[in-house]
Amino acid sequence: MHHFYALKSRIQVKEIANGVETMFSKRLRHKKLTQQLCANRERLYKLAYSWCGDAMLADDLVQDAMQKALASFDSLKDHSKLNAWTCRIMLNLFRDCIRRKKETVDIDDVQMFSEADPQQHLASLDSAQLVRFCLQKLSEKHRNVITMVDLMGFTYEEVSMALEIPIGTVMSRLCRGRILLRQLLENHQQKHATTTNHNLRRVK
Amino acid sequence: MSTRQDDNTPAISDELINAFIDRQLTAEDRQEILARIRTDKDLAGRICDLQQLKEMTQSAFDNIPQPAAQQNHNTPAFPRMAAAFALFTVGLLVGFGVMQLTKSDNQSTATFTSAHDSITKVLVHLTSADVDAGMNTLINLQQLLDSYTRKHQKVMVEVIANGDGIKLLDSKNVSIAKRIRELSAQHDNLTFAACKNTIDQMRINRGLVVNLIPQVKLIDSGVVEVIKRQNEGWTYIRG
Repeated sequence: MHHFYALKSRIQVKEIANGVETMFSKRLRHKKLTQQLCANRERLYKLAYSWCGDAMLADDLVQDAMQKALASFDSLKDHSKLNAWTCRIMLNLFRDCIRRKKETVDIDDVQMFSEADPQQHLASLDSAQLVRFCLQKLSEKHRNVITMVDLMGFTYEEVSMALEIPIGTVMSRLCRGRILLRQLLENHQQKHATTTNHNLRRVK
Repeated sequence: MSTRQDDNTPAISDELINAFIDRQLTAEDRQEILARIRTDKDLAGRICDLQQLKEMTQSAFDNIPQPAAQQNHNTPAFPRMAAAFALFTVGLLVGFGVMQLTKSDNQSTATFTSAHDSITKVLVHLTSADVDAGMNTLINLQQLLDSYTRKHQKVMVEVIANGDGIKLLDSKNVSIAKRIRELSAQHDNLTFAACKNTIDQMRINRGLVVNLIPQVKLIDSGVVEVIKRQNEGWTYIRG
């Protein structure tokens, strides 16, 4: 009898231990994911800013995307995909945001992008602003791949996951996008050769 | 077989070059392109242009405006109930809990210290013959090296010259030569390298003979070295 109770309580302890273990591992997992996301916050902000050109909006997008990603972290099976996944969420949020703006006012009347008042300010832009301006001029599909590769440091596979397109498409869009970006930069630099002509010279 | 294959070397596609600068190629493909760069000036130029575009894109977002009101963006709070329960059960099962927690803590400190102990690798690229600018670069370099030495942090610096930057490393530039001699004597973690391709071209095309400063070593191709270093994760600074 004595022996039986001892056994039973041992089983109970084991059950509790298992329960705690899953709770702990879940908590640790959550903590790890949060850390991983927070470590990438700066890069996510750069990415969001490259899309919308507005500090407040970019900050909101990052914050919302991070929260959404964390809230549903259980549905994410492969943790190495966390960054790509968060970017996909953020892109959807951004698209929603543009759609909402379109519904209420004509998109052409909205100055959504703080740096996109080109005709007056183009000449006064420094090279960094010019690059950001030209990125905004690109079509969304080209801008997305360039910014994800260059600002997030994504592999082509991660971009392919974030945008749900095949890797071959990532490569061709990237290639085409960079050609277009260079053309845009060169056009603007020719127009304002005095201020920016040194930026794109060849090294050799 | 491709119709463009006129001299046994098929043209390398733009997509492949993009993948090269984005470090998305297999080691084998990378090696092949690196080998091609040495002989194919056109390819080297295309890669360099693209690499610059990538760097411009990246650096364009180094100093972007930050949102005005910075909130505390910390992690969403772990539900209180669960936390209390966790504390309680940790008391019951100290061994297990502590083991798990310290395990994760050890992991995080381990990654922190390894990042702290690692060597900072800096690549300085000289492409201009402007002596004043060159002098400025060397002064900055001295400050950088001194500051790292003072803090007992490890740093490696490689100065690579090609194009017009070669002229800067000619021993005719007495002030530069003196500075490089002093710097090299003080710091053994600093190397100067000059592109042999450029020097050969200068001699053949323009009849210019370059007498390098003795502390400067010769490398086959400046462009290849710059790209190689960047792919190894060196920080790139245009001198």
